[in-house]
Amino acid sequence: MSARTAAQALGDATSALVAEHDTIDVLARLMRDCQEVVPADAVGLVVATAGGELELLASTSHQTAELEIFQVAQDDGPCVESFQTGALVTACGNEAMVRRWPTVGSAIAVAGFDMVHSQPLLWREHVLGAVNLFRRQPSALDEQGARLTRAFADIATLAVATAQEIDFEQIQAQVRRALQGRVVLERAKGVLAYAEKVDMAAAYDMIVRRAAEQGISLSAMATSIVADAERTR
Amino acid sequence: MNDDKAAVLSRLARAVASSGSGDPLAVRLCRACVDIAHAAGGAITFGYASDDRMTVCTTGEVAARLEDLAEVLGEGPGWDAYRSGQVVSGDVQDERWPVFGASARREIGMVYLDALPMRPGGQLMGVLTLHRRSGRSGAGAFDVEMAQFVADAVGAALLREPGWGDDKGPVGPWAARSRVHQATGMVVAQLGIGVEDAMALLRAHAFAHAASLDDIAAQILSRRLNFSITDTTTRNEEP
Repeated sequence: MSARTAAQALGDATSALVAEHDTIDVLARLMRDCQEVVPADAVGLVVATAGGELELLASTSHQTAELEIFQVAQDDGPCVESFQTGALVTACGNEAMVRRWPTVGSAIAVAGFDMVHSQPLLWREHVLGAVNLFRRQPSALDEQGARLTRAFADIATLAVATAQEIDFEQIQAQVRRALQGRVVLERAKGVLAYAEKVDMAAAYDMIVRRAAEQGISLSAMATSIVADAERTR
Repeated sequence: MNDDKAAVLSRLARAVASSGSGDPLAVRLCRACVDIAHAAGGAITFGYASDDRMTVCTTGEVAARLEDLAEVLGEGPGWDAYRSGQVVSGDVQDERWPVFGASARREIGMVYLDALPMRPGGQLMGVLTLHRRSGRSGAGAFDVEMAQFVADAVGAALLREPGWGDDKGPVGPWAARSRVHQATGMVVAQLGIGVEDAMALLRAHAFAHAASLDDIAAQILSRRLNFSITDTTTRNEEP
């Protein structure tokens, strides 16, 4: 399992457990921790409003807040680009930043930053916003840093997308049904392994064959085998 | 939301994002909980008192043995947490679980336990158990509300995580559990008794021999242990 799906799983948990009014607290904390562990010198989070406008939701410093607002106003810069393309945007070094975004890149450089890394918040086919990391040194994020950023972005995404109600009752029922089916199949293998003096693999093949012969499902066959064995004496 | 809850989520996020180990999500979350609670170890068990009970992760031998003892003996803080849906704390001298406590004391020594029911969305799905060596002094790391929040977050994350029970091959939580179910089936076939009685027999045998349920299952599967042999009303069917 990749770190991404793990982060999404925790993100789901977050969105389900966090009330709407708590979201800002969670996001602010996530951004602070993202800055600390990646690490970066400043982190900001922008999300799109219902009208499609980007809005600053959390930032770890006043300076980044201003930079984010400036990018939105200019409709240019790493966070705008990341939001518009849904792709990771990264630029390292004064020259690269200014070349790519003449006005915004200069503003970022003037604010004392030499690296910017913008990770989109992806929710299904939509881009909800972007997380922006700034460093004062021209050093790009390593693989670990990029992965951590993506994990924090995933969790932020789910915390933002709280409109998505998670039906735990339904999910749990599905999990239980799947588990129960496997439990009875294992028991039936044990029954046949003993009664027919075969190994587990052969016992499994017998269940599959009998189910096919009788035209019933594997778990129905397994249930019937166990029930018959329970009554044999 | 208070800052503590956000901090806990963030710490769980770090645990999830941490790379290198390649460990399953359950293991990483369990370790993060151990860490947050300043505990010595922990275990996560789904469907605690039900047919499809499965321990999806233990952080070490002590946690694994405590989980096994609780299953074999049918008592302990995890059971009380699962039955009540409330956080249950206590040590191995607690009168609520005399047999479990005595066995754990004998095998492991003094431990203090916190059993946190995982009930995301109000749905009870299992128990996260943490143990500490240092007794009550460490228990203040978590208040009950926070403990419950952590358990719910972990439960919710694991419920949506498809990988925890899909292990192939001889290791992993499902592989261990499937051996117990196979052995139960064999005992059903040996004695013609119900599944629940067969499970009870496995547990009783494990308790009597101070063995784990998995050990007993392995003996049955390898045909070294056959309950029908000691049953004088049936002939010996050993090949």
